[in-house]
Amino acid sequence: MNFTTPTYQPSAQSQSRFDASPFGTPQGIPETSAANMNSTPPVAANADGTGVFGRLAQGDVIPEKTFESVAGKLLLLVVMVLMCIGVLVVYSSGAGWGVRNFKDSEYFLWRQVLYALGGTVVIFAVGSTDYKLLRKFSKVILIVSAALLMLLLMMKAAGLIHGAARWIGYGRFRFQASDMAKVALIIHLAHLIAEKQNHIKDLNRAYYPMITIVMVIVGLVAFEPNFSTASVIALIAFVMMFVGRVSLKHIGVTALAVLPMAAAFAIAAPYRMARLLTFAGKGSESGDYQITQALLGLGNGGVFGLGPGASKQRELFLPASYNDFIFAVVGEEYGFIGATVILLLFLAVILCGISVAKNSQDDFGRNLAFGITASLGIYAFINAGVACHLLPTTGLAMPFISFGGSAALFNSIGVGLLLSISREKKREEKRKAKAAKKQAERAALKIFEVAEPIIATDANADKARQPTAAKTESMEESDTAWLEKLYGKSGSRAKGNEQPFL
Amino acid sequence: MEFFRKHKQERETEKRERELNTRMLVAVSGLFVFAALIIGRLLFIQIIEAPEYQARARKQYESRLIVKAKRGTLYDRSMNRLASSLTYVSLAADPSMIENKEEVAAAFAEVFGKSKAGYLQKLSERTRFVWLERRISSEKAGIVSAKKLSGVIAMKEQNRHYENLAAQVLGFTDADNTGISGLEQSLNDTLKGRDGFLVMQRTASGKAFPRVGYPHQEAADGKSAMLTIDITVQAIAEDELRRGIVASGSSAGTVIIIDVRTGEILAIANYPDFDANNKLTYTPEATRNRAITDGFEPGSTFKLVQATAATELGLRKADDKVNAENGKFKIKNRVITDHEPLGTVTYKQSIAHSSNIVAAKTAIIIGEEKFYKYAAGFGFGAKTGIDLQGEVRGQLKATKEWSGITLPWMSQGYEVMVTPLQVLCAYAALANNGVQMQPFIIKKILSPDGKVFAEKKPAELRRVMKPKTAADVKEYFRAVVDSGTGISARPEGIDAAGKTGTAQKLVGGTYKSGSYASSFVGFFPVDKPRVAAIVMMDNPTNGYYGSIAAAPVFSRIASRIATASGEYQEKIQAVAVRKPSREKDFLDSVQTVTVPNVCGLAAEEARELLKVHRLDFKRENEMKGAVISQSIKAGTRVEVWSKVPLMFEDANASKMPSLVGLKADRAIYEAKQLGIKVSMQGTGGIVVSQRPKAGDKPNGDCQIVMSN
Repeated sequence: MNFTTPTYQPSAQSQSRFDASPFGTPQGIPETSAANMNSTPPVAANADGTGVFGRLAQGDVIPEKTFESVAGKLLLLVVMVLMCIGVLVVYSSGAGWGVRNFKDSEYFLWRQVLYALGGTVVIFAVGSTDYKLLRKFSKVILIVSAALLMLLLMMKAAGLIHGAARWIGYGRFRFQASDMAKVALIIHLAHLIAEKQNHIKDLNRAYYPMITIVMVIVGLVAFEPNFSTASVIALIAFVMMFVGRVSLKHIGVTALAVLPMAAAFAIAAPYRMARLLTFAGKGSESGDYQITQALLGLGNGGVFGLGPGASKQRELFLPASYNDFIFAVVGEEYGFIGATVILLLFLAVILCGISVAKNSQDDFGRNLAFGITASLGIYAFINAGVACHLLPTTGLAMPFISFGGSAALFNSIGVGLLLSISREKKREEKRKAKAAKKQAERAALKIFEVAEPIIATDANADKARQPTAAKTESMEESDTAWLEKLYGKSGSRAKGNEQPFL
Repeated sequence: MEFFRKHKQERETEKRERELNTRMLVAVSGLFVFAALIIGRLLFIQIIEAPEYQARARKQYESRLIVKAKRGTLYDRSMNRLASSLTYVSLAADPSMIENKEEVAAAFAEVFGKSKAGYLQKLSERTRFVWLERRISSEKAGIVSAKKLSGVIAMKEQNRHYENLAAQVLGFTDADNTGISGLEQSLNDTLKGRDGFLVMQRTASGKAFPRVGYPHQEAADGKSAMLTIDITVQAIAEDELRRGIVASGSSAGTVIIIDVRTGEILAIANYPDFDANNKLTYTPEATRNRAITDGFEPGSTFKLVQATAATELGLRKADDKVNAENGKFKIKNRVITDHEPLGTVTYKQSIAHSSNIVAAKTAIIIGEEKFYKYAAGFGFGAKTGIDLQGEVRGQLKATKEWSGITLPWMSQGYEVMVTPLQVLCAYAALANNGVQMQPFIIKKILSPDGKVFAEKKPAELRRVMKPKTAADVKEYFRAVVDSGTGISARPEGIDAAGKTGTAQKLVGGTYKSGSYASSFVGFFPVDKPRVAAIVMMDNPTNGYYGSIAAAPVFSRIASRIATASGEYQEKIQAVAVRKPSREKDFLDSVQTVTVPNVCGLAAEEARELLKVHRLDFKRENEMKGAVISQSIKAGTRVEVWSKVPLMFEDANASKMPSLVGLKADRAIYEAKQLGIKVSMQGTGGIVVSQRPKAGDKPNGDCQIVMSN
C-alpha cells in the first residue's frame, strides 16, 4: 500500500473539485459534462499549499502524473497479458477434455483465441465511446437484464429448459444472463449512488430503492439456480454501496437479515450442501474429488511448476480444469511463482481500476470504475481461493484466464468502460479546448466588433488558434482563464501546479 | 453569509471525500488481504506441503510397470525345450512423438503385411497412445525394433509353456511366473532373472501408457538350465508307463531311467500325471514326484544286497547248491514262502526264480552287521543327494533296533523303506562295475546368451563292491531276465539284467494281501551297461507280480530306447549284440510329441507355441481372432510337425467386459461404451455380479448386481 498511498492522496484531494458540482447544480438533475465543466476549479490543489510540489521535493514519491495518466493504458496492457496467459493455459488444460469431448485437442484453444480477440475489439470499441451515455440507459439495460433472467425462469417453469437456466441467446451466440445482469447492476448502481449522493444515508430516499434493485437481480440469479454468482453479485453490490457512502447501519442490518436467508438457500440444494461440507472437511469422497485434484495439481507444481503444457492434472483428472479450476492448472504448470504472478497481475488490475476511479471526472464514473474493478478482483480471487480450498467450491470463472465467451464479453465490456472512464479527462479537455476555441473565436470577432483589446483573452485566442500540437497548453490557458474569472488570481501558479496532473 | 455557506459547503465536501477515501481504502485493503491469504495458502500448499502432494500426485498418475525378465528355459540334454517362456510383444506409439509417420507406417506395413493406410490412420489419431500391433512374436518385434523407429513403444509379456514331459520334475510357476514346484521352484533364482521397469503415466480415464523419455530399466533375462533328461527317453518312459498303468490296472506308477556311467537321470515319469499348461490339473496327487518322495518296501529287488554281500564275502558262488525247502521254511516261528516252490537249486537259480527262503538263509549266514553294512553301502536309508527337492531318506533301521526276524525279512525286501530312485541307484552301481555315481538332473546352467555358466560333471559317490563281485552278481541278474522271473522284462534285441519285486503293502500297520507294490529294476546292455531303469507300479490289479505288472513295461522301454532315434539309441546300439526287427525299428523311430492346448491364443501365439512343440497348424476358418477350438485334443501324442487344425474366433464380435468390482457409475459408463443397457439390482456401490458374464457375447442388455 505504500505505493498507492502517495499516488492516491493528492489525486483524491483534487477530486473535490468534481464533488463540488452537485452543490452547484439543482438536485435531481443528472450531472452532465457541462455541469462538470462549470465546476472544476482545482481548489484543493491550490488550497494545499505544500501540495504536490512539496511532496515531490521530498523525493519519496513517484510523480503522480506517471501513474494516473498511464493507469488506463497499463490496465489495458495487464489485461492483454492476462488474456494471453488465459489462451495458453486454456489450451494446455483443455486439450485432454477437447479430445475426449470433441475429438479435437485444439477445440478450446481456438475458441479462447477467438474470445480474446473479440474481447479486445470490445474493449477498444467500448473504450472509445463515452461511458456517460450509459447513465441515460442504465435503467433500460437493467430492466432488459432482469427481463432476460425472468424469461429464463419462465422457460424453466414451462419445462423448456432442464436443469439450471443460465444461458440465453440464439444458436452459437449465447451468453450467461447473469453475466449481463451483473454488469447492468453495476452500471445502474453506479448511477444511483452518484445520483443520491446528497441524501445517500437516507433510508427511504436512497437505501430502499437501491437494495430493492439489488435484491431483485440477486434473487433472479439465485433462482436460476446460480447461487455462487448471485452471492458474488450481492457482494459486489454491497461493496459498491459501502464505498458509495451508504449508511453502515443500513448495510449491517441488511447483512444480518440476508445472511441467514442465504445460508438457508445454500443448504437447500444437496450439491451446495455437499460442497459446503467438503469445505468443512466432512464431505463425501466424490464431493472431495475435484478439490482434492486441484490441491494435488497445485502441490505438484511446487515452487517453479512443471512447465508449460506439462500439467498432469489436465489429463482428465481435474474436472473443469480449463474453467472453474484453471488456477490449479496455472499453479501446477507455473508453480507458486506463476500463481503468485497471476494474483499480482490481478492486483495490478485493481490498482489501475482504483486509479481510474479516483481520477474519474464524475461520481458516476468513479462508482462505475470502482464497481467494475471490484467485480474483476472479487471474481479472480474467489476463483483462486476456491482452487486452493480457501473457499467452498463455486462455479466462478477467473476473468480473462478461464475459458468462456460469455464471461470474456462482459469482462471486456467492463475493461472497456474503465478505459473510457480513464479517457474522460482527455475527452473533457478536448471539449474544453473546443469550447475555448469557440469562445476565443467569438472573442476575436468581438475585437473586430468592439475594437477593445483584452490582453488575457487575446493571449488565449492566440494559443487557441494554434494547431492541435499545442492543444494541451491551450487548455491550460483556458483553465487559467477560468481561475482568473472566478478568483481573480494569477493563473500562472495554478498552471504550474496543474501540469503534473496531465 | 455567503462566505460561511461556501465554507460550510467546502467542509461538507471535504468530509465526504474523507469518508469516501476511507471506505475505498477499506474495500481495497479487503481485496489485498484476500489476495495475501491466497498467496499464503499457496505458500502452504505449493512449498511447505508440496512434497506430500507431489508424492500423492505421482501415485495417482504414475505407475511402475514391472517388465518381467524373461524366465530361463528348461532344456533337455540335447537342447530341446521342456519349459519355455514365450514372450509376446505389443507395439504401441505416441503419435505426437513420432517424427515421420510415413516411415513408421511403411515399416509396420512391411513387417506385418497389412495396409500402410491403416497404420497411418492410427498414427494420425489425436491421442497420446495407440496400439499398433498386439501380442506379436518377439522375432517380429525384433525386426521392428531393429528399425529404430522413434516414438514406437514395445511392451513385453510372457507365458510359461511346458512340453508336458517330466511334469513333476519340472514343476510349475504361479501367475507371477515364480516357480512354486519342482525344478521351477528350486531353480527359481537362476531362472527368473532381474525384472526391469517402465514408468507408466495413467490418465483419469484409466489409460496407462509408457512415456518416452521416462526412466526405465531393462529386464535382465534369467539363465536357462539344461537337464540330463533326454526328451526321447522321457517321452518313451511316460508313454510306456501310461500303457503299463492301464494294462496292470495300477493306481500309480513311476519310471526312472538313469545313465549308469554318469549318474545322469534320463527320465523320470510319474503317474498320475497332470497338464502343466492347465493349472486346473495341479492336484497334489498328480504333481508329486513319487520317484523321490515316496518310500515303499521294495520286496525282491532288495535281494541285490544279500547277493552282493554273499558274493563279495565269498559265502556263495553261482553254482553253490542251496536248499529252497520246497517253498516253505520256518524261521523263528515265522513261515517264509516262495511263490515258486523250489528244491535244491544253484544259488544263481535261486535268484533267477526269486527264492525268499534262500535269500533269508544267505542273509543269516552274512550276519546282521555285514548285511547292514552292504545295505547302507548301496545308499539305502540315506538321500541319494539328487538335485531335486523333496527327496526322502527312506528307512534302514540300525541293527540294534532289529528283531530276530528282521534280517531274514529284510533280505527279501521287508522292514526297510526305500525310494524308487534308491533302488535304481543300487542297481546302477552294480551295472557300473560296482561304482555308484551321484545321480543328478541339472546338467548345465546357461547364460541368456547361450554360454555355459555352470556345468555339473559326473561324480563317483562310492565304490559299493569290487569289480569282480559286480561282474559275478550281474550274471545272477542276467539270469533273472534270461530264464527267471524277469523273463517278461526281456527287451527286443538287447541283453538286459534286472530283478522283479513284489511287496505286500503295509496298510495301517499290517501287510494286507491284495495291496502290492510291484516293480522291476534292471539295466542294459548287460555286457557294457549304459542305462538302468526302474518301473514301479502301485496297487496293480491285473496280476500283482512284478513280472507281470512292471517287467513288460521295462521291456518295452528298453526296446524303444534301443531303437528310437536319439543319443541313447546310438550309445546302446554301439554295444548291442542283437539287431531288432525292421518293423519295430520303424515304428519306434517315429518321434511323437504332445499337442499343447492353444485355445484362447491368437494365431501368432498359437504358431509360436506349436513351434516349440515341433508342431504346426492349419486353419479351419479364416477368422482373425483367438483360437476357439483345436481338432486334436491337448495331451494327444502326434507325429512331429503334424498340422493341428484350429478354429479361430471372429475378432469383430465384441465381448462383455468384466464389470465386477467396479463402481456403479464406472460400470454403467463401460457398458455404455459398448452400447449396452444396464439394469441394476441392489443398492451398494460395487458391482458383485453381472449377466451376461465377462467374455460372453453381449446381447444389448446387462444386469448387474450391486454389493450391499
